[in-house]
Amino acid sequence: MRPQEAIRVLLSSGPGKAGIIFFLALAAVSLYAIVAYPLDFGLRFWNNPAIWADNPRNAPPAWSNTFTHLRRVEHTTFRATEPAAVIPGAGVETRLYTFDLDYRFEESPAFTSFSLRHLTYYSRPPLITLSLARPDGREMLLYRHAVRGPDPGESPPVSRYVEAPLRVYLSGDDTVLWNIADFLGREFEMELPLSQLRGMVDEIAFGIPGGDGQGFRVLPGDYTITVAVKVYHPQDSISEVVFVLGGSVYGLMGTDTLGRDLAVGLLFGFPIALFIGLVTALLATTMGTLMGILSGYQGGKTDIFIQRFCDVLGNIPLLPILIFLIFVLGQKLMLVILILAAFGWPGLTILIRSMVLQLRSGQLVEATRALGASPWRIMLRHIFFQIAPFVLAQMIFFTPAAILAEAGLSFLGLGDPSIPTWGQILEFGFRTGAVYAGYWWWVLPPGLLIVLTAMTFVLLTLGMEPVVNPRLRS
Amino acid sequence: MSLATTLALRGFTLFCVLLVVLLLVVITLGATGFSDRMLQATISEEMRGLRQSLAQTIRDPDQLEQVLHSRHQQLIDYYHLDKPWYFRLPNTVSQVLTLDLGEARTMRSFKGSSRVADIVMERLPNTILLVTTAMLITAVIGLLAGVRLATRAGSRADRVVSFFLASSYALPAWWVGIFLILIFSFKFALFPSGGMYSLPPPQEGMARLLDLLRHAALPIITLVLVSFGVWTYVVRTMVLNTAQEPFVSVARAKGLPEPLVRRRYILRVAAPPILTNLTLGLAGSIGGAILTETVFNWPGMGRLYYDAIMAADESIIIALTFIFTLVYIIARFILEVSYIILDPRIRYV
Amino acid sequence: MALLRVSDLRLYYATVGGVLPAVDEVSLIMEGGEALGVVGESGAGKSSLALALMRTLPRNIALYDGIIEFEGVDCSKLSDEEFRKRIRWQRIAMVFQGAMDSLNPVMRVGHQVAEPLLLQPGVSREQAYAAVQRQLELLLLPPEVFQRYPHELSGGMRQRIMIAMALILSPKLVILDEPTSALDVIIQAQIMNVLKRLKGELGLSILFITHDLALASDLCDAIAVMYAGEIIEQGGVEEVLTEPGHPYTQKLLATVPRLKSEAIPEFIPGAPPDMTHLPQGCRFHPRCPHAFERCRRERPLPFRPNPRHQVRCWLWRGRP
Repeated sequence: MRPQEAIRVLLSSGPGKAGIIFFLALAAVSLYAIVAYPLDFGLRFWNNPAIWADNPRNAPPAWSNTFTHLRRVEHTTFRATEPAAVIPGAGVETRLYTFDLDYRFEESPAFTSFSLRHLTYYSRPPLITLSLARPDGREMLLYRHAVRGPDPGESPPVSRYVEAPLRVYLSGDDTVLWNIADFLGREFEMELPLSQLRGMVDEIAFGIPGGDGQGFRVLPGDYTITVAVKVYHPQDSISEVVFVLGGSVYGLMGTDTLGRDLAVGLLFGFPIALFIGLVTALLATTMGTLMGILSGYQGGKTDIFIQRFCDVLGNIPLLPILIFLIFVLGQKLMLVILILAAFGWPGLTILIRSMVLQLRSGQLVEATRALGASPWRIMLRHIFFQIAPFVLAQMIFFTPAAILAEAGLSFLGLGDPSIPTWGQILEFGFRTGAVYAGYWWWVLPPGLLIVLTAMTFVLLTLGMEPVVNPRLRS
Repeated sequence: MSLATTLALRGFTLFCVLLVVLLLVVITLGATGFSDRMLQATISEEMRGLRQSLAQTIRDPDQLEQVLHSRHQQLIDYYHLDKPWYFRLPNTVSQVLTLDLGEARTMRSFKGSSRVADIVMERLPNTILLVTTAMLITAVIGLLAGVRLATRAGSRADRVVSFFLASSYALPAWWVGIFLILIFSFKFALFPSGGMYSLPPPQEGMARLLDLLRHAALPIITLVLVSFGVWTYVVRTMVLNTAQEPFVSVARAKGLPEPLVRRRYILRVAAPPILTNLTLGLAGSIGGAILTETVFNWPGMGRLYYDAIMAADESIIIALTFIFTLVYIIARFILEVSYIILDPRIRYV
Repeated sequence: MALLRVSDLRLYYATVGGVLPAVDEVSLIMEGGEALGVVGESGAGKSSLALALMRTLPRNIALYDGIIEFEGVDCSKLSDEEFRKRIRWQRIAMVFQGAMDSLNPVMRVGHQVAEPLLLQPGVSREQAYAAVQRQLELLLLPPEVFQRYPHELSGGMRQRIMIAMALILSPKLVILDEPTSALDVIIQAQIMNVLKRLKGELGLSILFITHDLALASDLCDAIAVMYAGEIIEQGGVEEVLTEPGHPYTQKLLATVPRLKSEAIPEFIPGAPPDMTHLPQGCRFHPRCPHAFERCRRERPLPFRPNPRHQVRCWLWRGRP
């Protein structure tokens, strides 16, 4: 059967069609993940706590708000590299970075923080002010900060916050507390001691007094956060201003207990799962086919030896051996792939051999042999080409097995720590008790993706059945 | 070939499997220096204990060092640590083959023994209880559903169901387990999320049994869910293939009633190939058991494996790798024997 | 009263390619003790005729009608269950094509032979087994065959087991579907001798299906030639073999190699028709050397050159 024909047969079946669509989708997402993130994503991002420091921990995905009675705060990060407006003055200009926030949640933020990266000034150090315009028309100054002047011996241009950004945890900052107390006294004539205000910053900033004189209730509406930077030289620059609204729900897929964005981890799992499945399947089928053709075509002692060998190797229970070898030899992804391939080929060899035996006694091969063709030529041209569709189908069939085996191994805590996989995300969730705490967003999606990926190849296998077994073609 | 020879040959092959696994384990441990490190750890452990006990009796530090040193040499001699690992190989292999599995490093049995054999034997029945129950349920469902499906082969229902059955191949046991815990344990609190008995375990017989059943329900459902699809699919296919054989038409032409034809000419003949296909899935169910026990904290060998990995207790990991292979081979041999009994063609070939 | 009277029997299959008339308007009569040979190329509908008579039909039936009268009983009036209990195997038994796959591989053959007898009311196991032993003896099989499994027997032995199985309920009529086609010549001769003897000794009626005219003529009293689902010629052995009326029968006879003749066996030109797209008119006309206009338009009716002979061919129209 020619390749075009095989594809047509594959496309004519429902599972085949679905399988191809799923596979193309998987491939597209994988491609995007590889392009969008560096290959050492695991070490540089996933396992680097600094990247995730601002994120809420164990936060469900933002869309889960649809199902809960309380609308929870969506974790949001505002970033700006260019000011929204510039107010000129004599020898001084004020650059305004503004963030509009449509606050429609029914709780206060978990925290708020502000950070600023890579500031350079040429004359006097700039002055930074952060204020909040509230939906009730009140203006609230939260934070004021003067950038440190030049150190002795330092001459302009002076750069600040290059290595580590200026990061202010507004919810716990003392100057913020002062400003809040001031705000309450001025606007609501409430005099509260600082000790009582501690821990209530966000409640007050995004709320109004409850009326009973005690608590505060959430004030929904449009807020504007303004970061005003007063600079004294036109060449002064700031590379990035960030405001974080700490929420209790996060992004598309939520976060884990380290605050890692699960969406990113899951995204990076796509290319890895495909890589594991396809490379393992390719290695195992190559080996299995070669040995099968050799065994069937050569016959004699070679055949007996290969068959005995397969009988023994194929009977070894895979998971225990895999666990043992990975434990002793080290948790490396390539090693997992090699072991899976090394124990995976015998079954195919036995199948291929019996097919080769049939073909070998067939007229075509007999005739070619009588014409004096070399054994290698016969094995390739007249045997391999005939069983090629079957081999391809077997390769597709093997792929989900490899993906599931790796996932199982990762789940036992033996995954490659430098490369995050779906199995490992799940394992971390399981080990830290996410299952018993009901963090469904953490444990369900990785499993579903594993099932989906494995399913894609099962669908393709079902679609390939008529290609392999001509009797099913109608 | 006689029945005995056939059996002996299968037995020999399976024994070879065991031996290969064992050699693989021992050589890997030796060649990576793992075994040297393990022995050294054992010796230093022993030396530490010795130093403490001797320090009470021998006051002179020089003399103490001397005694300790000679004892150290003795131990190195005893464990053959002075020779390369491959000289120790035959000894280790024969030790493991005779089930002399050594001492665990940190883990203990429930009764406090550190002998690996004690730890494993305590858990083995729990695993067997779980796996055989699940397998029996799976087999019954698979046979009933498979035969039923085969009788309406080709119908829309058959196609849809077969498709779903085949896709259950894509379900990882451990994830199904987690899913069930989230729903039935966390959300609805119908079943406990793990373990084998409540704490404290009920003492009275009936209550104890019910408690066990409640704990075993989710793991068994998990194992059945991930394996019955493949079973049913295999049974359906094999029954369908057999039903198309000429001798079935002959049986009908002979005037035999349909139930008899189905039982004697279809199911009976399909039994050996069904068995073969299931034998191939046996290795998979061992993996399934390890993962399912881990998820449900079932105190069997699978959970022990997980705990041993977490505690990096080498001797248990090695012993379990061997025991799992052994259990698999015994189960496999039982299936082979039943195959030979079921199919006269093998018996006298 | 005739033993078997079949009129206008039709058995059509529904296939992917369309409706396939495997048996089309077949009529025949068999007397008790007679052997009728049904001859034709493979795919002519011989085996389907046997299945239609036994009512062991595959699932994809498009049409099954006509009258089958056995010993005066109209079988089409019997329900499937009645037919199974009263006629099948008790009155009409059959030896299926391919003895290789016709036996249950995991049951001892003796038990398989005894099975129909064991289902009869009031028959004990011992009686049944004794009857099987008698059958084995009749077919010149050693008694220890009883305990054997099919794979332990040779092709000829298996075929004789199948015959024993067919005879176990002493039926009136046995249908033999290519009973010797997979066997070598010596075994074939053995089986044929057995059949001849049974016909003589038991007065058995035989419907003998074969593609081998010579074999049929050896055993049978009458011959029916099938082509594309139809019986195109039938009559006594003498009539059909010495004065074949249908051009197809003539061609078929010419293909038989003769020991004492110089004549080189001929081939029939062309190929059997596509059964789902049969030619209009006479189904043989594309291959027929005598075909004329009418053959291409109208399906021929059966004509009778003499009372014991019937031909479905326009050439015979108007002749006595």
